[in-house]
Amino acid sequence: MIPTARFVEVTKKYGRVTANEQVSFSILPGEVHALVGENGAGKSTLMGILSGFVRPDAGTVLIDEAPVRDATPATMLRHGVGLCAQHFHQVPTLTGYENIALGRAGKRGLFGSLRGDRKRIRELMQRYRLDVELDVPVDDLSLGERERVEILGLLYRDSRILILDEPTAVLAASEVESLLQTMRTLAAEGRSIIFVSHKLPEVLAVADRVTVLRGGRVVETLPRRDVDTERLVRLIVGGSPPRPAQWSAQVPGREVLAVRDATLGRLDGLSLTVSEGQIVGVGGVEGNGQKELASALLGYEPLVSGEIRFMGEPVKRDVRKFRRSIGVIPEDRHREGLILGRSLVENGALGRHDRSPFSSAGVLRWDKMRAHAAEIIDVYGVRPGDATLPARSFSGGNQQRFIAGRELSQRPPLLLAVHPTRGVDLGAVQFLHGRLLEERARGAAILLITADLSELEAVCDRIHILYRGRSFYEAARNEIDTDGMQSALLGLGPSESRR
Amino acid sequence: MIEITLAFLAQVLRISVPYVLAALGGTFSERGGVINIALEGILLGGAFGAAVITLATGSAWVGVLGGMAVGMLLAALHGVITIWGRADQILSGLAINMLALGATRGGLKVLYGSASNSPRFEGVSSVFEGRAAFLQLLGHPLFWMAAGLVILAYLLLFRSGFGLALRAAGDGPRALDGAGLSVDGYRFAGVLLSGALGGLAGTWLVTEQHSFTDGMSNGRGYIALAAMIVGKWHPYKVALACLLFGAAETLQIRVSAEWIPTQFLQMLPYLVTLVVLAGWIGRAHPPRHLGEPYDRSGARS
Repeated sequence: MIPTARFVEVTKKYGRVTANEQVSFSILPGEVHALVGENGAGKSTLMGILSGFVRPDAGTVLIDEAPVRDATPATMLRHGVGLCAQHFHQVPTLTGYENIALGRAGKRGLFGSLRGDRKRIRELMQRYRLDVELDVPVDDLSLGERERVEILGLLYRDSRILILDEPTAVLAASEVESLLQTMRTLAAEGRSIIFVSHKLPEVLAVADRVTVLRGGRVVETLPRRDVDTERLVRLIVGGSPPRPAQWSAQVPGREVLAVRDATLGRLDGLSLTVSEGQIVGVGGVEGNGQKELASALLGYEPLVSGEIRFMGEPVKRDVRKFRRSIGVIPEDRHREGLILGRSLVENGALGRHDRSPFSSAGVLRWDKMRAHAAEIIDVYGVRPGDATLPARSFSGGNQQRFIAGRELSQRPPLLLAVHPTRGVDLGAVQFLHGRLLEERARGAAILLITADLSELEAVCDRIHILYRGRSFYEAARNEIDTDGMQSALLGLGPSESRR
Repeated sequence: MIEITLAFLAQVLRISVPYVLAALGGTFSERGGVINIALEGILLGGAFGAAVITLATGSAWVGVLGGMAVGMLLAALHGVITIWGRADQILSGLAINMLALGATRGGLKVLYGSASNSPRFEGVSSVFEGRAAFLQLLGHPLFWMAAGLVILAYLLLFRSGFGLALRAAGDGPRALDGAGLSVDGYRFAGVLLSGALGGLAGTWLVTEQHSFTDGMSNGRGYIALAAMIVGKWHPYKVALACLLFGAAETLQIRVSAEWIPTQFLQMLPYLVTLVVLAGWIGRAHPPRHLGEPYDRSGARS
């Protein structure tokens, strides 16, 4: 079979950081080809090269066995390569429809109708069961919906090499199922699907072949039948897999955070409490009030009604003080967690830069900041281990490790973790879970907002499933039944309180 | 009474025309993501170009084209410096404003041996020349051009493929690039349009005055930028904001200083802009990637 795309000894360096080194492998027509590896293994850079956004330093990309030189997104598009990026390439102010039609904007007459292809997009929506509202700005859509818009866009351009970079990271379980289905359908039509993922069960469920990257190099490309989870994990981490974090019973202390009848946007009268030495998980399909809950706790928006209490005191005007006395792993690490253009030295002190030990008499103590960043890098295994690099040159998982390190190093009484392991590799997931449990053992109260049910089951003492802004299903750890939790995601099943 | 009202209205419209043209120009540039402080210099350069070409060729309409051409030339300079040279857009704009001021001043000296103004000339004139002010305005082709351009700008921005791509260049350049279209190309097109419109605004000024005088743009480019912000980068609203500013200026000319100090009325456009910027009358959201050169392989995101 003639490969649709082939990498030949592709190398890419970012300054001192090697993203890809001598990468060679090929993608066949009609296959779902999974690309796995830890954060920073070079997956996204490689996909950037294939889609023309990133220019390799050396090596060649072949499409249909013909080398593509000086590739740009436009040339790769013409060759049928379509990228669904992890952080979507969309114009947030334009509607889904406009985003999809954008590629054709230049190919019409000055006032050529933008409406002509609506019918074709409708057909694609039906054929691939990618239902989404197309007439609102994509900014107003959930991440799952935005992803469907993106995939529709690839299909509309009739891409035959579809790159899906971490597509399931933002999806709920039911949505994941249908996406995997869609991938199979597309491959059956003879298209090549490149599936970049950290979720090994999904990889094993859908892939025909798997390529493992480690440290920017290809470890191996294997057919699906030759791998299982354990083998894959070994190849990814290059040794024996990390041990999953172990939860153990512990008596919670006094109440740290109380949210009562919180109402704001889609949040509709939510109540919950978190105590010392307790991890409370909030799950559910995206868009059921999670964003508003985080937003209210972070003081971005005041509650319309209801109340937030911290250590028994209502949090009102002193939101800023509250915010500074807790630890936060924010949902959007690029916007809320880091200053991407600044070094880890500076990012490590962020939020405490004006206090001891990072400042004395209003003057920054760079030595302390450097030492602090180096310590986080060391303890949290951030790679590459160079604190002078700007935050943007680290992969998502390493950025997340660093943020977690910064927030937890303050030993906060309360930690708010919002989707802390989204788009993060297995090693980092288990490391972060382990850290959360250690903080819990220390006596921290932790509120964990996540879309990942297995995460809820792995670390939480108590869970709430949000549905339409309320706690639809609530259970202590030993009472959790997975089926009940699953159906609660859709607002089904008994909703009686299980206190 | 009616006569006075019509005369007032005519003056408001006349004063507003250059604001409308220049502000529409700014809108095209900024929608594509390029800040265009250079409008002030483009206005001045356009006015000078229109005067020189009209005087040289004796044709008013060739003069209009000359004004637009000079505007586009200055805009192209701004575009090349900021889009491909990745220079700071504000600094480049300021530099072009100073360049325009110096070059027109030098041009006056060299061409006409004057430090202050060009010889008098007849530009494009109203078909009702010499009639009542309002009628005269209604007969002016450039007035109708400006009015038509407001509608055309709207259609171009929001009803055409070009406009969609241009807005994408300002709001999500990576998506535009990913769709296979040239971010830099669309941005440059937006900047060039702003040059043509700014040059036309300058042409109006010089046509009204029948001669070019040193520094005659007199801050109008900045007022136009303010109107663009108040109008939230939307052609109709931008035009309304320009009319509001034009009305304030007319009042300032007409109302005797005993009533309200004229300085206060002069401040009005800027006060309104500050109020809008502060979000007191509906927040104005600039294009999301305004002021940023596009870097394809920049961030890892």
